[in-house]
Amino acid sequence: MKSAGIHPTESERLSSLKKLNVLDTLPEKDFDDLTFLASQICDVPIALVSLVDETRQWFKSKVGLNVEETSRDISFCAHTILDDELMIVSDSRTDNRFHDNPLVTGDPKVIFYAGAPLFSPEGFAIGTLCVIDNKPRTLNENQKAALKALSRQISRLLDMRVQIVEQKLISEKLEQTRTLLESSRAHLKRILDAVPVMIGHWDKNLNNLVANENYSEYFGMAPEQIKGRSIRELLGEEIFKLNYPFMKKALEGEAQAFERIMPIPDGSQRHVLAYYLPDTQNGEVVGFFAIVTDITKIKNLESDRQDMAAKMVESAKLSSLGEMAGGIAHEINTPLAIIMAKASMLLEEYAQGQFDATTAIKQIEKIKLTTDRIAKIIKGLRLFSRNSEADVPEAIQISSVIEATLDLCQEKLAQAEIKFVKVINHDCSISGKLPELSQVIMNLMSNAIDAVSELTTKWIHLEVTQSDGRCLITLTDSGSGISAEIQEKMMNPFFTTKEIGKGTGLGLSISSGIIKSHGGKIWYDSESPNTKFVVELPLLAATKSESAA
Amino acid sequence: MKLLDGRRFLVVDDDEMLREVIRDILAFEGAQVTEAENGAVAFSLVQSIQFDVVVSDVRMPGGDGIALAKNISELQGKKPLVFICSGFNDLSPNQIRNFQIIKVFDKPFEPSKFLNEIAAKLS
Repeated sequence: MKSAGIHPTESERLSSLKKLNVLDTLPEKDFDDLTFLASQICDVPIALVSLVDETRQWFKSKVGLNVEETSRDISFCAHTILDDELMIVSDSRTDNRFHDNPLVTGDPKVIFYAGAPLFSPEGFAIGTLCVIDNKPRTLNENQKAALKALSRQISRLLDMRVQIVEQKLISEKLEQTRTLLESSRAHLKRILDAVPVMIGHWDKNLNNLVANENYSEYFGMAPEQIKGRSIRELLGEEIFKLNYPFMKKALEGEAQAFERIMPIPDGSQRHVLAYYLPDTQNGEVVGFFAIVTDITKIKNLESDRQDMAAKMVESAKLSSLGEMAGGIAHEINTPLAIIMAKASMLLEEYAQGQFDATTAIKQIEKIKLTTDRIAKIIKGLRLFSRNSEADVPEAIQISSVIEATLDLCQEKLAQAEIKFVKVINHDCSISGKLPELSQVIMNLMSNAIDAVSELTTKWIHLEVTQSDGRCLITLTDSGSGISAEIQEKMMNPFFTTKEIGKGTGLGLSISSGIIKSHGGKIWYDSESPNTKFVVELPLLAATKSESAA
Repeated sequence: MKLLDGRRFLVVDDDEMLREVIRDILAFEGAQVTEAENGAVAFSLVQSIQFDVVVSDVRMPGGDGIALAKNISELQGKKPLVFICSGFNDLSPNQIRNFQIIKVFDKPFEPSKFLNEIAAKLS
């Protein structure tokens, strides 16, 4: 007996066979039908679809034989696959390859054998369609052709079988992908609907592609209802006209941001911040994303904060006025007492018949002079305490600011026995708001008075000079300077070294804000051995030329 | 017979014109009036001259009215009645009681009431 040799490309042939995934599978009708046809056409009792792997031939389909497989070394088919042609053994007993083969000498007595090779899609012979008889015989030409044709059908069937399995795998994968896609789409929608922002995606014809719930709610609809509608129809002509320029720019590729007060269907109004962001694909703008945030609350807070800040400034101003109040009351009440007493005296003299016109005129002149004292204080007070928010800056002489403020500080200075020196080297012309500047001077004076009151040497020195187009107001007191730690914080709001109830801690921060708004700055001169603040303001001429430039 | 005939007054105020007018009011009723411009000057006068009444302002550079009242209240023997004229509420009830201040007149005050109250305390 001669076993078949090894196939010249055995390992490729085997891997090609493995890929068909057919070995040890259940019988299939499609194969069995063809096997049956082969046995009928060739008029033989046995027909097989035999697949040859490393060690055996395994039968995918069989007619007339009840064996699953046989060893490869006794296999006829192992010979067939070595050649691409039909192999016919008319009488195996006279063939030296097979005469002592146990399949010939014993059951099933393979005397006649004809096998047509089966080919894998890659073109390797992987097995055969074979017909077997237990007596010697031949096949006519028609039978040979039919056997070949059937073998081609079986090869095709094997290929299709793989393709079907692959198809199944692909559609399973596809289904998985579809599920994944669906879940990620749902996930995206959950995120889009959860964010407290309106998000809408519009194509370049301004029709809606996607909207989140917040967005569609704005229009009183569900996201699905908005899809496909035009933004013009949804916004209404009036708002569309307002927003269209932004859409146009966005579609030209320029991101847009704008704020708008929008009426909403319930009749109220919301303050919104809108972004129109270009949707670019392959360098071409294909639409835009509208991202709209309701900032009504923020806007309200902001305006509350502004009101609060204005109130704070007002309260700081009144507080610094309060610090001066004792002195001011004294300043007013003393002249009032004089006027009242003098007037009463005159009346009394008249009542008692002692009225003398010459003396009386002198007294009345004194009364008039005394009213001037009051008028001056009241003028300063009125100036200081009025709300200057709506004022426009006007040309003022720095001396008028200083005089008006000092009138209010005079009494306090006298009480604390502070030696006050004022030197106005240049009466600079500046542009500003008198009440605000007066507040700054008052604040610095008040701080200086408080600082030196407890010292043995008490003096405050106010000097006005002019240099490089700036007006410099320098306030120096006999204090020995401010520690670096306090210097760092003293311009911060609410920072105070005064005891609770004595200071708001807003004075310097507000003063600094006022001077900044006047185009100047306020700074502490740490070089000076004494406590020294400098207020720097642009001169009127400088302000004018700056604004002209 | 005038309301304050023969009474000796010390008027203490840093405001010259107010001193003058109080002096005139008191003198009109027959009082003898001495003036001082602050509490320190006034206290040295009180120690050398026997006054019936001291009328003092509160806030004055060089010695305030509260310290003056305190110093007078601590004197031994016969001492003047102390009246205060204040332009602002800067005395506590405790200070008024402890320093034996008879009355605080709030500026501005009606001269007739001022005279009558002082005269009443003197009689």
